[in-house]
Amino acid sequence: MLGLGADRLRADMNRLLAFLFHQGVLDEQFLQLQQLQDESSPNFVSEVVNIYFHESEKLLRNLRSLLMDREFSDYKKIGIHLNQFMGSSSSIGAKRVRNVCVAFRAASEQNNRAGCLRALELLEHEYCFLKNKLHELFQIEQQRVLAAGVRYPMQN
Amino acid sequence: MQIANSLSVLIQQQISSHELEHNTGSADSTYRSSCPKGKTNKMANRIMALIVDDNLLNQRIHSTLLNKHGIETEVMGNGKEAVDAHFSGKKFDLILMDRDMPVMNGIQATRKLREMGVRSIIVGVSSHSSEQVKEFMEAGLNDYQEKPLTLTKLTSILQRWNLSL
Repeated sequence: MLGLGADRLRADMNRLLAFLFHQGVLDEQFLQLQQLQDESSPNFVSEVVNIYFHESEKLLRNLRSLLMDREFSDYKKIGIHLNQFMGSSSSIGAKRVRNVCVAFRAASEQNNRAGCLRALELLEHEYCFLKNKLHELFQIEQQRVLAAGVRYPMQN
Repeated sequence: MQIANSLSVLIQQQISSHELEHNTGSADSTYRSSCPKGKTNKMANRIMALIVDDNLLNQRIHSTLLNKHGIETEVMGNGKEAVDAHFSGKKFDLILMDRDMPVMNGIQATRKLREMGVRSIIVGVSSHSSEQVKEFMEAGLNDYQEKPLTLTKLTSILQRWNLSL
């Protein structure tokens, strides 16, 4: 009966992943990361995603700091940060975040400050959504591993 | 984390785990056959790759991709570090070179390495589309791949340049 808990949790994980793929939040690049996880690197996906979170939050802070500056005019710098954000997002399969970066970059190329601010709001929103969902996914996975590791006591 | 087979099969057509195990390519690459005697890596059957990228995420992912193919890796954060490493005598069979990096970018680093006589297989890896990479190719790349790198793309690179173990 205890094994059913692990199966149920696996089903929950698959449901969440299917939802994220269906909504375009993630793409097949995320599956590529899964393919690279094995016994020699059992936490590869969470390690990579945590690097992504760390890098992304730094970029978001930089973008907000630039745009909030009254004297702001350095759209080239915005473009550099966005290219980095796009690259990282592509690398983990964060499709929707990447698409918002593309729109953001278009606004920065037109020196459109209002457009950039709107895009930044959307980017922060999409990033938060992604982060919450990935945390949820990792939590379910942790619970599944624990549930799968429970054994019946040996009968003598 | 184990992905349910049903979900991964839907999108998995391009990914073949068979590619990880299937060794192709002759023992001698174009690079090795043109390499002067005594200047190959210490162990003839060991492939060494250098990843030149300022992005920590890509460093991690590309290292793991290469390690899956049994290739040892070293990582450097910009073109200057790669050039300095070669000046100090390091040699690599394969270099994955990012284009946009601080201090010295991939175009400058590739040009410099070729001027130094480095004959490693240098593959440019960037988020720029093929149309924008002319300058990068002309700097001395052997090949170019658009990010993100995947198992399939890496396998095709290794097979094309006879770098499979």
